[in-house]
Amino acid sequence: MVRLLYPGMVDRSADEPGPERHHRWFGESARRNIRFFPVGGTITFDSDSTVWHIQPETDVPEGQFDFYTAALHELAHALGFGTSDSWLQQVVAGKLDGRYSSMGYGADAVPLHAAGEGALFSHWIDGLRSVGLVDLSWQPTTMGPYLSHGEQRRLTYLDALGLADVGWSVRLRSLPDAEESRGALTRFLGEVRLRERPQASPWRE
Amino acid sequence: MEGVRVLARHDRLAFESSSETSGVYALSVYANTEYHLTAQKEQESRANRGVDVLDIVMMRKHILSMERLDSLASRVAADVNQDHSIDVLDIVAMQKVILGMRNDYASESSPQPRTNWRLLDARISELPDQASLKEVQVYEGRSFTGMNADFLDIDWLAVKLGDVNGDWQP
Repeated sequence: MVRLLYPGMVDRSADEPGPERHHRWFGESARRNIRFFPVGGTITFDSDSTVWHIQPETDVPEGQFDFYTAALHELAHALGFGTSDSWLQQVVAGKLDGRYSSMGYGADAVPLHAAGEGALFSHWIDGLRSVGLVDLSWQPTTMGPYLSHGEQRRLTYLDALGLADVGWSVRLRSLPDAEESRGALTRFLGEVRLRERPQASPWRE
Repeated sequence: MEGVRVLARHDRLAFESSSETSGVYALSVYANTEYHLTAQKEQESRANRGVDVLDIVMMRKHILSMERLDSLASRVAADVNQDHSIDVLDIVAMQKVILGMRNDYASESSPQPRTNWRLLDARISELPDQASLKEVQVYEGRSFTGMNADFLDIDWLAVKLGDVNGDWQP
């Protein structure tokens, strides 16, 4: 068992595994909020029965789970994605009615995954795709409910917009053209010029 | 001008793009939303490049009303501590930068180090040269609302603080 802790955390390692355990998303964040985000959290990784692929720059072999992807996913939960009060307040009829993620999704609200009865709707619905922040290609979101063997995911625009809905300030690269398939884009086009040199200066005369 | 970051901000969300070697930039954002556009250039490793005693001579003549700075851009460059006036405090801050004692124009009233560049909406060139430095603040950003089409020619003017005579070259 490997545990990742950070300051202000509440140690939940003794808790029973959550309903997501079979997906190998082994995370849980504290629910005591300061402003919009959890005061801290603890992330537990099962190293007994799960074979983790540790090197993020290499392909994940079949039969292994990508540690980087799982850690990224759980850190987002620890930052309040699907776990904070600010998130839960925006969940309406199984969708996240957040102003930022709705912009990226191109509709009024983003459908969420319902994990059993009384689910907290803490993930995007399964199969949701968005443009990756790193390689700018369409890919499954990191904050979906499942991760398969041999699969590697990176944070997408929609994942980042979900964090903005939680309350974080998010700065992203200019949207790639691929995002246009989701909704309308607008472009600012222009030029940055150095101010012109004065024609004449007294000391040069 | 290369390497200037243009930011489109919508409350907690910001999109950014950098200008290319030619100075051209393109920034794509989600449509039909309000944005506030600004431009930023990071602090140079040597802020005193292009800033020298000739700039200070010009400022002294301006302060003593011997020879006023005749362009708005020169006055923006001379107001290094950005307190909307050109005075001895600006000269003192410039001297420290020229001598290498400091690499920014932080002052007692605003001690946080700031970039030595001001990026202004290019429409500032429509202002008269005699316009007040307070008016310049308005041109540090530009707001857009209800967009559903591309916006062309959203240009920016880069002013290097301290380079009063405008002789700095990239």
